[in-house]
Amino acid sequence: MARERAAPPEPFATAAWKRFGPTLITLLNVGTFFAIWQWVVASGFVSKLFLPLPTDMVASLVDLIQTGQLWTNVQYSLTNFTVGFVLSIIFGIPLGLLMGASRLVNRILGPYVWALYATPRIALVPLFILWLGFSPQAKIIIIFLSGVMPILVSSMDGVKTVDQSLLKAARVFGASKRQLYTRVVLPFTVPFIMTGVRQGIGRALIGLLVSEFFGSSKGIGYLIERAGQQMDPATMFAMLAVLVASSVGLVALMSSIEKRIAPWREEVHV
Amino acid sequence: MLLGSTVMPESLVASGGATATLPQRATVEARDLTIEYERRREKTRLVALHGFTLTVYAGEFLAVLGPSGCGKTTFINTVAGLLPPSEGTITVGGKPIEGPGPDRAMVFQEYALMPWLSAWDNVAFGLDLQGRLKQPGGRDTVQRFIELVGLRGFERSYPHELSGGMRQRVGLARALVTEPQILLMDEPFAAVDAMTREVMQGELERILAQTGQTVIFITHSIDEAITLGDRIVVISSRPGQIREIIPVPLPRPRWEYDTKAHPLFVPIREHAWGLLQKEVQGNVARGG
Repeated sequence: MARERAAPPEPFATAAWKRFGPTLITLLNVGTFFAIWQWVVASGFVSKLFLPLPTDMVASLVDLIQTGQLWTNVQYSLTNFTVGFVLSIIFGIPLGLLMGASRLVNRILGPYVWALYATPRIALVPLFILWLGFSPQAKIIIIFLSGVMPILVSSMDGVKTVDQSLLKAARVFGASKRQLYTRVVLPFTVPFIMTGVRQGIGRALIGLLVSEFFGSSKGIGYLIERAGQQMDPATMFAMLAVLVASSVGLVALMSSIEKRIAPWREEVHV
Repeated sequence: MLLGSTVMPESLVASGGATATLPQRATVEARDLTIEYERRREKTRLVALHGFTLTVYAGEFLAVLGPSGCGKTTFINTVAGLLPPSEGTITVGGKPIEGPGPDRAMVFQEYALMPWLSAWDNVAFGLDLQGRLKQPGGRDTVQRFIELVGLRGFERSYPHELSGGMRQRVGLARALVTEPQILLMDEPFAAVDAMTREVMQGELERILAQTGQTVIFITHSIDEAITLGDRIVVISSRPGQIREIIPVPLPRPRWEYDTKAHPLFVPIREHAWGLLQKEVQGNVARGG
């Protein structure tokens, strides 16, 4: 097999390019982007009220870090997010699997799930504020409801789309009903669950921000919202950058977990 | 009894036949077997097999030939224990089939390998389900069959990393490793390319010479049926009924020569084709 054969030695430049080339391109790409941005604003082409200088943005970020505001608010958001999202996983996966496997459970829970799935969760935010005030609990519930849906629906779809030929094969080799689930249905569903969890992260982040926009005196969303009110685009962009970095980080973490848990998945290049 | 149910082409009878070497101990016996399905959408019942009477002899290679939708797969699924008979009886070793059992194993057209398991784990899959992998020697048995089918060096590859031919070797090893009496093969080489197919046919004969299973092999290729089979059961469709059983007296081992160049090949082919032609034309006319 190919992996047993030693690769022919490459010239150093080629090897270095293969290893660091993509990173270099990304750095150049992003660097150029910020340089143009800086130039466009510095030249007065766009008002600083709408678009801050990237350098001002960095200054705001440093300020936020030094005053400790960043950490307090990020910590608040992160705690709510983690609790809400862990709840999404804890409820979403088993409920989805059950609904996929059992017609009865599907019939009982289906109406509620689909009603909740179809309703924009943002409509429920005032309700939870009414019930729970501006507490972390209200935010956690909104994050949970946002994150749980894609996880539940994906898990359910996974069970429902199990390859019939695989079930047949397992039955021929004498699989018990229990073995059909543990040895075929569950492993088959893992990639679906992972996809659901990845989508759930995106939805839960929306839930997090919405809950903080609406009524909060803390959190990433609150800082963004306040900066907008105070006509402080530098802080707003700094916080948006923090948000982008954490979201990208979360999704990347998810992808690496996915690769570890489901290494059999074909990588599709279109 | 065998000849009684068989109409031989004259050229075959003239050649003296080679049926004398056929083993005669029955293993699978279907008597007046009828299989009906409920078709949910059409709300009709489909008679897949009707009045199907067939004896499969221990150690023989039985090719089941017929047009698409003739009930070949229904028959093999019934032997596998996946479908209960609607009428009539079907027995293995004299006992009615009540479900899948370790005395039977199947190789599937679309491989049906677990994509999350490596080749080694896929081969071990059936043995593990039956709780035999952890018994002493279980793992050695897996390795032995991996080597028998030529998968050495590919143990850790996942199915998607393997070619069609290699995947079917995994499928074959998964079935053989459970050491069944009867190997059920449902168009196993239909999804691989023509060249690989010929190689696999030769390999299969070579492997079976060592393992000695009774094989029920479904195909819609006349050439494949002749190349591999001791007998060919020709099935007509809607409902599936036995048209004829053709003995194939080509000498074994057949991988050692070009079966298509054997003087008996063409007459058998023509005879089988004559039986199938009307069926296929009928299906085409019906849009099947």
